[in-house]
This record gives sequence, structure tokens and C-alpha cells, in this order.
Amino acid sequence: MDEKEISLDVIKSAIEDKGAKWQPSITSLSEMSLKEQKSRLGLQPTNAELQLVAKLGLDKPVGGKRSGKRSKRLSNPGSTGLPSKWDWRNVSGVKWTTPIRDQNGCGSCVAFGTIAALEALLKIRTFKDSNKSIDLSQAHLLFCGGGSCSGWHMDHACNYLKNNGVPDEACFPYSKGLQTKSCTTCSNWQSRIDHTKIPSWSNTKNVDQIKANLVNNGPQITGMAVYQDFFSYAGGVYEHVSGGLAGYHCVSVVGYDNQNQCWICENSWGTGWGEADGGERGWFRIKYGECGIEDVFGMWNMTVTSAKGSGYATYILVDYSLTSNNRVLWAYAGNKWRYRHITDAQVAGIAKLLMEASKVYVWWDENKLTGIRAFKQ
Amino acid sequence: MNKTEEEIMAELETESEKLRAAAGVPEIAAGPVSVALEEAMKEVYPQMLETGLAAAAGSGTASHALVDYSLTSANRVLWAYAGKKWRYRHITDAQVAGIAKVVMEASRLDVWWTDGNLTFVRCWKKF
Repeated sequence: MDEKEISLDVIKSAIEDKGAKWQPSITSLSEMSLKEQKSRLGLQPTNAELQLVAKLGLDKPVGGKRSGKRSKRLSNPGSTGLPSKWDWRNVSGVKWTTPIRDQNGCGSCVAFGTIAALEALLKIRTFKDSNKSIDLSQAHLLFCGGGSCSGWHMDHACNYLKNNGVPDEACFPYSKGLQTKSCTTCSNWQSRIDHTKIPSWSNTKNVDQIKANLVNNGPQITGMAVYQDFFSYAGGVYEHVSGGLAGYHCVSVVGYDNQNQCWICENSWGTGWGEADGGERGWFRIKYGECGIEDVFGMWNMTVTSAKGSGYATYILVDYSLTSNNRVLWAYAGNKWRYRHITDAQVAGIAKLLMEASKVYVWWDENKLTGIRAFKQ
Repeated sequence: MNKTEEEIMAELETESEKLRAAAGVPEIAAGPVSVALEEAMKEVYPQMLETGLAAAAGSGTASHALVDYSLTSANRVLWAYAGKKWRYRHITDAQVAGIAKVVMEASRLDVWWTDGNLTFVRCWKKF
């Protein structure tokens, strides 16, 4: 890696020479030492990914020999039937992303990139509510999932979410994680995972599939090579023009723009860096084919469960208090107990009917029963 | 016929257990389902768990349920045999048409009591 620091003037000159379309500036990271800048990364690529980096020459300085294969992955705009632009920060005027966060001087980008994508997916797919307040614990995912400030990988983060889920930020605040650097999470975290235990995840390098996943599911997670000039990014469509490889980073991808030939991404370096969106800095756009996004890493697509659902009940319960008006109908379906407070008339009506049924199908919204179908064979 | 009522009920319970075992009736709500129910109950009636159910003198699964109905007075009584004793509660006609019927159709009945009086019933149905 090139350890030599680069000045803003050098970057500006390189942008002009290359005809790049991004603006450099002094940022909250640009004035840091290289060591401090590198501590804001934290993706540890697999051996296979490192081999691809070497094969494509992404670890070589600008002007070095790089493979020309990258452009072959790019789809023809309009060829997929997908919109030419998609941005989860503004879908028909609605913002589905969660705020820019700051990983500080810990290589926790994988936890931040993964959580940023998951939080948005939960708003979009699970709760179908852009105003839903969701703040999940990056510290729990990282320190309880097997990662550390030295770095991690998206495969491990996604597997942890699939097997365990992740609790809310208050359960294990990031500030506490930075102090302890170990799994000092709350004792009842397993009852606070809500819908974060993901059913499945997948990775693809197929650009058309990535765009379809972005539109039809939600934000994705990706890895990228980070070069020194990236720390001075303040807006526009980034492409590497100057400086050596600083390391590897994980971010959430929230959209794409075929006209400007770029991905739209959410970073975790706070609001003193990057492009502004609605007055909030911390975002960036990066040119298709840059930094190994499509060729080396691809994108990780997580599926989430819907809060609304339906299914056959394996148990029905009727709770009846003989000292108060509490009457509750319960159904165990979709691996959870769902319930509804009912009246005495409903005990005599639907509850009795359910007890006589041979099978019962129920609909729910989160834990509340919304509909029932009783079968008799 | 010198057996006491308690001895008769004990025999009945033993025979019932044998019948259940012979029929291979599966355990209801074993393991994770029960744990999940405990968690879900905290959301549904947290105050009641602290005051009502927790304050109950005892609870258990009833092996028998009875409904006594007087045709010459307003006496209607729901009985449950649990914790080796009969527990009861006076109920109304509406409750005979409601919870008493549900109790009769249930595949398992859990009850809570205080001083011999039933305070809470839970009717299970397994599919």
C-alpha cells in the first residue's frame, strides 16, 4: 500500500486530468493521519476476494495495469425493465433509510453497513412504515457475533443475523462497545431481537440482479477497496484518481442511477464527510465498476420477515379470568403466540367454534390476531 | 364401597393417565411453546401477572371439569379438579353458554385458584 499522504491540490489536479465528476474537500477524515483513516475501515476480505483484487490490479496505484474486465459486468440501461434510477432515500417523496451513523476509530464497518441495510429493510418490508423508529445495536452484532475492531466480513454478519438476530441499540450501546470491546450486551437481548432474525441471505455479482434486489427488496450491503482520495470526498460521482489503497470497507447501498452510472451508498463516517442529502452529509455516489464493488465483492441481499402474516395455528388457547373482564384468545402460528382480547359474547361465539374446529387458519399483524378461519372436516 | 371421595378421584386420575398414555396423546405445549407463551403473556397482561395470577394460591392442569346447573334456582357452578382438590366458581347463565362450553371442548384445562375458588382458566386446543 502507498503510505504517502496526498494533498487536496493533488486530488483536484488528478480529477481534472481524469475528467472525473466528484468534488474533493477538507472533511472530518481528510485531515486525519493514515493510521486514523484506516481505523475507519474494517472489512477483512476472504482469500478469494483478495485474489480477485490482485487479478484486477485493484491493489496497484492509479496508472498501474488494471484489468479491463470490469465494464463487461455493466448492464445496458433500460434493458432490465427496472427504473433507470432508484433511491431509497426518496421513493415518491418518502425516505426509508435510517440516519447516518459514525463508527469512529474502530474497524466496525461491517456491523454498520449491515445494520444500516437491515434497519431500512425492516421499515420497508417488515413494518411497511417509513416513520417506524428502528435503532439496532452495531456493538452487539460485532462483538457478540465474533467480530472485532480489527475487522470482520459480511458473510459472518449475515450468518449471525440468520442464527440469532440483533437487539436494539439501548441493549448494547455502541459507546459501551468501544470501551469494553467485548460482548457486554444486555442479559435479555434474546427477547429484544424483534424481527431481526433474518430467514436468509445471498450474495450476487450479477449487476441486473443487484438492481432488481435493490428495487424489489431494499438496501444491499457491499464491500469496496478504499483509496486515499476517498477520505476527501465531498460530493459527485466518485472514482479513484489519486493515492494508494488504504484498505477495504463495507457500506450499505441504497440505490443506483443509470444516467450518472453510479451506485448510491450510505457510509458510517458521520456527517462531517461525504455528500449531503436533505441537509445530512455522509452519503456518497460511486461510479459503476469502481473499487471492486461488482467484480470482487458483489452485494449481500438479506430477506426479512413481514410483521403481517398468516398461517395454520397449532394451538388455540382461551384465557378467561373469573375475577376480572380479561378474556384473551391466543393462537400459536408462524412460530409465535398471537392474541386478541375478546368479549364474553366472543367466548360464547368464536372461541367455542374454534374449540370445535378441526383446523384453524389465522391472520396477524405483529402479535395481534386480525382474522380467523375455522375448518371442520 | 368404603372408599372415600379422594380415593375414588385418585383412582379416576390414575385410570385417566393410563388412557392418555395408551392413546399416545402428545404433550401439549412442551418446551419452546411454553416459554414463548410466558414471554407473550408479559405483553398481554403484565399487571395481572403481578397481581392476579402470581397472587393465586395455586395452579395446575385440571384432570376433570364439571358444570353444575340447578333447574330450580340460579345456582350454576364450574368445577375443576386440580392440585388433588376440587376448585369451583359460581358462574352466570351467559358463562354457561360461553366459557363453560369452551372448557368442555378443550383438550387441556389449566386453572388458577385462591382459597378453593377458581380465579382463572386457560383452555387449550391442539391441532
